[in-house]
Amino acid sequence: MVPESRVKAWAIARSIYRTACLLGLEEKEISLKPMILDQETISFGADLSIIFTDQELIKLYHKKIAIPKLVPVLQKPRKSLLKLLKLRKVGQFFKCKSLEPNGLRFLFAVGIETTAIYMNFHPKCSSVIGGGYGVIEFILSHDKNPFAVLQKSDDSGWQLKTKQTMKPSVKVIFKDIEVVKLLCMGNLDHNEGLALGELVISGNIPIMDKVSYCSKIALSELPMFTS
Amino acid sequence: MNSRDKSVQLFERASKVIPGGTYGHLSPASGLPRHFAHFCKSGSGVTFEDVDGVEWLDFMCAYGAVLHGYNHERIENAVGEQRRYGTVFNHPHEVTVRLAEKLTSLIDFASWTVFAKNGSDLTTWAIRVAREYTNRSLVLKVKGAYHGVDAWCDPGIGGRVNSDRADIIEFEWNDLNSLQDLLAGKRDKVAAVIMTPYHHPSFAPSVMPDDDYWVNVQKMCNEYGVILVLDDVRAGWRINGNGSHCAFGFEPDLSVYSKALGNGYAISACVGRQELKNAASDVFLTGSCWNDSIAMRAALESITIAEEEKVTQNVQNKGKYFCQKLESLATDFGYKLKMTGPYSMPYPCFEADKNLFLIQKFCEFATMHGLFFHPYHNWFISNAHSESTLNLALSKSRMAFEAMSEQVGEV
Repeated sequence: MVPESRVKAWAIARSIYRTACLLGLEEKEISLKPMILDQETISFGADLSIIFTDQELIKLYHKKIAIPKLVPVLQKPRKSLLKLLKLRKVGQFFKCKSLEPNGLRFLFAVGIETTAIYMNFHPKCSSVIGGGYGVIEFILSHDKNPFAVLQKSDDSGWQLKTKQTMKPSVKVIFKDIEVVKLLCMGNLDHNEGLALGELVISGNIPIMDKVSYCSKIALSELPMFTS
Repeated sequence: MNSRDKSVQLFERASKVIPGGTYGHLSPASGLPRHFAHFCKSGSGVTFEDVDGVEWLDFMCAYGAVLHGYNHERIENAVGEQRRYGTVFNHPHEVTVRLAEKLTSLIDFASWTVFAKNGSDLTTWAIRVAREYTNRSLVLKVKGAYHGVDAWCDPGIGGRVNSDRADIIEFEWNDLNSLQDLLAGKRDKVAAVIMTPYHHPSFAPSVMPDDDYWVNVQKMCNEYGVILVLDDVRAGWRINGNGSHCAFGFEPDLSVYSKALGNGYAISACVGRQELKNAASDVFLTGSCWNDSIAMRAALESITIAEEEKVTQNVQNKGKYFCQKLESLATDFGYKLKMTGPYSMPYPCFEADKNLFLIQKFCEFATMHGLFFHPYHNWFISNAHSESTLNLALSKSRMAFEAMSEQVGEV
């Protein structure tokens, strides 16, 4: 369980990890998979070679620069350096303003990861979502397969998947990648998008309404495009 | 596919000056945004015309607000006559008293009536009357039941703080044991139990009360000194012309009506028992145009027509005819369609369609034949539906089923 005060930092850490996965940077030996630790710190990888305080992670998100705890870096300098290089690549991805279609797909998926964290741990979001569950597929109209799937099928909480594994309860189909960009930027009201044919939602509408509301909360605290 | 150009243009204009373009139960997300029109132009009888000039055969009746059909001649004549005198004044018009007399004579347990504009105005006021009378704070409501747009009960998500619902406790429909446990566990703290005559949640099938459910609810409320509030806003005049409680053999302490009451004119009414009259006069109630004599005249005429023409019985019979034929039609195409709830306001659902894909598809195909069927909300039958219009709707439904069955692999 992630306490309320740490949801933002945890969502940032998970978003970084997810981006690394999508960019093909994640590998078993030098993993960025985050672990939540005591004393308001988060480690990237179980080897504890790179650890940030929650505050530094939030600083990393907003200012693109942060200082990890020094002792782990001194203890495991090689692994630390390799991970820092990967973190730099993740940072460069977020700095890129004119994202390619694939980049936008990744960015959207990262937004879904953030939303999932908020639905699992943010008090207001978890209260909104309640016991709701389902499998939500996000698809581009000309694609056959979804590029992101948000699902909760058991007690494990909401999770982002990048491949379809279960029968969907909701399908969200975007007209084109530009619509994805507008949504990532928070520049498209989903109701307006629906009315004007920018996106189509079919299936279990009530669960989608809740997810949509939670994503607004998540992205208001952690916008995808920052200065 | 029907033309939607003007509808879309109007929506674009609307979205610049109205949050979301359209909102509430009329928001795009609440319907079929690629298939339903966004704006309406006119209505008559059982049809309405959208802004693109497309005529629709209607099964929503302004979400229940129209009982006798759109633009009903006799009601419009009465309204026209009333309008000659004006609309809202410094004092209530005589028609206010006439309408209150009419309602208190029509509804067996009622000895007084107050008026407002919408259901929400008076469901909220009714629980305040219950609190005033009992000097207690808690209110019990059924999970998933709709009682209006106020923060204690609205189905939305935004703009709410925890304290809004601090005094609201929910229980499951038809679960007498859980109601009994709550009343016993919160003895002397519960002011009111509020319920609709049958359970009609959105996005889910309707559920009728079990045998003796209401009789037992009333008994429990009496035993614990709790006020029983009947939210008859949606069902009023479609289940029983003297109040839906008559159909289920019980008497509430307060009953709230709206929708069909004014046949499209904004009016709501709360009626109550004699014992609650003093408490009612101590709970402040007013609104800028709540003394609207035109809406009251429309309501008076609507009730009179309902009595004279046995409208409640008619809409039930018509609904039964239509629902049974539609279910049978679905079977012809291999679908198991169940029209749940009362025949006069049925909620459609397909078997094994928990995520609503099939009902969405069916309603989408129906729009292509000019049928206004809603996938998530109960439909409404009006007295303007005739055998021929129902048969027309059934033949159009057949075409929708045909098209759907051809595409079933894509559902």
